[in-house]
Amino acid sequence: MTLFMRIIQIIFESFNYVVLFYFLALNFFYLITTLFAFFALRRYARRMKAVNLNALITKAGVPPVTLLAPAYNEEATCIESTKALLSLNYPEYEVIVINDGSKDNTRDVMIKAYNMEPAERAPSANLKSARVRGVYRSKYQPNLWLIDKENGGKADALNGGVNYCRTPLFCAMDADTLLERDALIRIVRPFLEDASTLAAGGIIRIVNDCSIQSGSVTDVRLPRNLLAKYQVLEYLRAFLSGRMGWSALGATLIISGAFGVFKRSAVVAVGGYATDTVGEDMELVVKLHRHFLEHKIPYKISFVPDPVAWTECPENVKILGRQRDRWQRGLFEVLTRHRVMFFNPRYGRIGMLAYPYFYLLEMLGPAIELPGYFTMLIAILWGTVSTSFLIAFFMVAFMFGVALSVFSVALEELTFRRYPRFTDLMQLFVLAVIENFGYRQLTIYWRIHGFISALRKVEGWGKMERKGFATQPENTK
Amino acid sequence: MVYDKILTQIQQLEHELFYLWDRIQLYYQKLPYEDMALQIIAVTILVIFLITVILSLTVIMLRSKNSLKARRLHKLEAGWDEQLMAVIFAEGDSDQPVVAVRSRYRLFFLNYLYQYAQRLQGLELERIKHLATPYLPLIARGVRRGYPELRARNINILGTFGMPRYIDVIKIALQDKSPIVSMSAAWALALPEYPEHCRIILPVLNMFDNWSMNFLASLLAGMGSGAAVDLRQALMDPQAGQRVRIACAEALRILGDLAAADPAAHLLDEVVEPELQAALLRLLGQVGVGAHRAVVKRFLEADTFIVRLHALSTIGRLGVAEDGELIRDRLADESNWVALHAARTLLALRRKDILESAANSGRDYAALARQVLAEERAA
Repeated sequence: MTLFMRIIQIIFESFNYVVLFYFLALNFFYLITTLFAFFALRRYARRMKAVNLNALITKAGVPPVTLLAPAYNEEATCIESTKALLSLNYPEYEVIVINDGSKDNTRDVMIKAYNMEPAERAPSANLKSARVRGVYRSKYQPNLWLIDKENGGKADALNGGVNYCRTPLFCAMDADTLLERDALIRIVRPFLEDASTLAAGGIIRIVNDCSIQSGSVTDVRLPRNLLAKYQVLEYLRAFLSGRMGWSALGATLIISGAFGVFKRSAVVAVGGYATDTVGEDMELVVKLHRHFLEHKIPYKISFVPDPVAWTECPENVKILGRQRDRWQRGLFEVLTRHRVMFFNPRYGRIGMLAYPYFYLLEMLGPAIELPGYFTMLIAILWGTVSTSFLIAFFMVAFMFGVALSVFSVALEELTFRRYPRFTDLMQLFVLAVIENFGYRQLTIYWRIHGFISALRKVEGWGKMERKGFATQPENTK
Repeated sequence: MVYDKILTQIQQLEHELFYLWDRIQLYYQKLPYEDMALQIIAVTILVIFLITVILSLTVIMLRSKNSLKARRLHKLEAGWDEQLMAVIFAEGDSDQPVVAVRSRYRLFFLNYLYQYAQRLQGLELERIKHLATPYLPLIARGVRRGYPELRARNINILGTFGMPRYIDVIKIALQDKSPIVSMSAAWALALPEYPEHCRIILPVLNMFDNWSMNFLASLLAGMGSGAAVDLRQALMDPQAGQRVRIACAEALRILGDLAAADPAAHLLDEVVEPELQAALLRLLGQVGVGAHRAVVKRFLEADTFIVRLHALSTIGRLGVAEDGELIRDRLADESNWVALHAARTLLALRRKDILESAANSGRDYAALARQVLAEERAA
């Protein structure tokens, strides 16, 4: 063997150790967060039995909230989702739909459906945002507003909304998200119990093929599309195990852009949403952590597992790929922007635990895992690793993946039980096994694609298509 | 004889175990490193596999158990519904019936009644209380046992059904080291019929350090005007702590306690904490009179925007049209919130003229003035 080949071999072998370390570290974190999530969810479920939501509404003087729903080309879903927003069980709230320069008829559809007319409303903050063309208010629903602005992206639209927000809290969401009736009262609870709470995120669930009536999900079931089914399991894992676990560790770094409530003054203090990243939701949370830790102001950011926002997930490979590419780009942009926090004790457990995890394992992970498949194969061909060892290694990875997914399903069953059909439960178990053959590799490919896109500084969200919510007539079930 | 036989067998077993252990040790000493690693991995796989299977079976069993339980409870509740309706809508108040509940379902029944009780009041609530009374000792025994959330729920139920009989139990729970239990006890005690409870709730208020101020103020105000004397006393007491004083000021505002106006105005001259100043200004806005204008005006140019804002709102309630000239400058305040309140205050002082000239001025605050004028037209 030539010296050159030997060097190559050493590099490959070393990389295999990196892959092994990555695998161990990743699964260690998954295990830890899952265990923390288990105890936190058990505590939460007990707590919810002790809290009477209706009493909370009537007695507690809950703070008014503004719902900010940015809409870009949402003519198919905006009426239904706005209807759902207007029927929430909450004493005092406003809804601001922000038409972010849609190219379709979102604005006109809204104006017609809700009988809106031009209205005066002065901004209360000056966050950076594209020009506002007009403000409209519904004649019949005085708490419904439409802000028509030039296109600037989701973050820009949210900044526009925050500028017109007049309540101490605002809820950032997607225009195509359906909030459950009690979602707001459940998500503001942390703000009542701890006045230092800056933000709280709720759980996102997949609405594909569920029945919807008058803006509410009435029959929850697994989607028929296989890709969507995989995403149901992924979301269960991400929210019930991941976010709940990180929240229990006091290190929530992500609040989904589809549903999160924020203290308005805190968001204004940090300059609002960053408009130059596609990961504006995570960027805001990281920025809040950074600002409050740097200024040594006590604060809390939490995840609440039972306020539900239903969202439509992509059902074809191309669109899902774009979404995952965007998520990975967002992650990359945010983590490289705030890299001063990386292993920095000044930022406490965020700097020493959550940030390194997301940086090394979530951001760089795909760049290790995908090449890892090839280097392991090459190592077999070279004879430096035995086939049986490699098979055993993949078996552990596979079994561990299945176990974590099953654990997430178990967490769902222990707490919220949103999938009442027994067949759905069994399907989730089957999905936990078969997702490892093809889907998992596909997501790694998309993530590595997103990683490369971020390195190449690709911008934009990529086109997303919506089917719209299939609403049932009032008298059917 | 038997003993010797057993002893021999134990010794034989011990010998075999030692022999087996030696063989294992020997086996692993000779085993190549890679094979050993493979065996460890194989055991790991087996363990994870078993855990996964057990977990899956547990979930399936849990689902079956929950479904059965839900069906059983649904059936029970359907039966209770009928009896409960008959009790609630019965004519007259004599011969109160009792719903027969099997001993294993007594706690479910109590929880079931509790859900109903949230939506009822007056005679209907009294009838439900009557139904719940025989089962309350079960709950009363549990307020010092179990995890905090369970204790809190038991306190909620006792507070709904068991007053005044279980008042002492709830008073003890007020001292519980868990804030959620203590808070539940405070809510249970903070009733208009018992304003004297204010004296025992105020000292524990500091325990709820992080809770929202609205929440605490609503709690105190729940005791009604009978508690106003104690609230006023705590408001004036510098030893009471800032948060407690703010909560008292807010509660007095909710109660519309006119007697609190003079002490609040007096206190404004003394306190320096902006949050307390703001609370006192809000209180004056609700219960103050024209004589308090002079005190309030001093805060129109305070350093903290929250104080300026509430001073403006209060002037809107207590002021006269001439004060409009003072307010005009605040339209250009660096805080958008203060500016908005200034515009609304001008409207409240009937100085629409200033607002209209501001709306046509082309200045930054013109949009704000137009908004407030539009709000007035819409109203």
